[in-house]
Amino acid sequence: MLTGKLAGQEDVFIDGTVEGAIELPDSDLTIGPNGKVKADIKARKITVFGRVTGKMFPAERIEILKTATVRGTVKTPRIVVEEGAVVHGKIESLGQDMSFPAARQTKPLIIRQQSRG
Amino acid sequence: MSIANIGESIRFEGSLSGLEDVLVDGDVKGTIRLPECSLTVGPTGRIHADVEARNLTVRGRITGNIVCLERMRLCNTGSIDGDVKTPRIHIEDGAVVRGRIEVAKAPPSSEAAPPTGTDFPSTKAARSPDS
Repeated sequence: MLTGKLAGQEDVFIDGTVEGAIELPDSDLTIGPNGKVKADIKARKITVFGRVTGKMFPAERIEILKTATVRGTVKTPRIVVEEGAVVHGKIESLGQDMSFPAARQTKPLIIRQQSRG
Repeated sequence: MSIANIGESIRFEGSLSGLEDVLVDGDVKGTIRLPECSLTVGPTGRIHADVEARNLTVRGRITGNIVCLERMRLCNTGSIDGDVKTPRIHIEDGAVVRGRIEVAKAPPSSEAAPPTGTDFPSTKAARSPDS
């Protein structure tokens, strides 16, 4: 479990528990199927397979997959929600077309769940 | 099942309900109650109404609160301004959303889905006059 503020310039994959704040203004955040995040999130792109509670401000887009549970506020230019996802909260999405340079192919930082017995 | 079509040039104000699927390509203002049926809002459809429907597909624009009883699909041309309650939702990339979304498993449909006997009391469905 990670508590505090997570900030950086590389893509991050969280498959564990993170609480606090996440700031990745130029990078992508993926919350894996085992991820449990309670945080206010700023990222370029947010992809959610797991659980998130908080305020989300993707600069580009958010994708909420069918396994995801999202609670809180989302303010985003673009949004995709897969059927099956659980969403509770206020969504503001303008559906704007924003042309961003193609995603970089860098290895994300991975935060995995700790096995505790 | 037949589909009632509210064409592109139709402007309707009032309360719309019934036991047929409805396709709205025109303008509807008021309330829409189709707890047994599907509502499709075509790309040119404009709805200013509180909406209740079993299934809902949105390619146009809805302003108002939405209660969907089964599944809802917001297509890439669709836009909603209002609160949504639905057990299942699919939002395509490009859709515009402004409001609260509550994904809740099938609501207790006591008053939402009235028992439908064969003799449904005089359907006060408003239809486009195209019979």
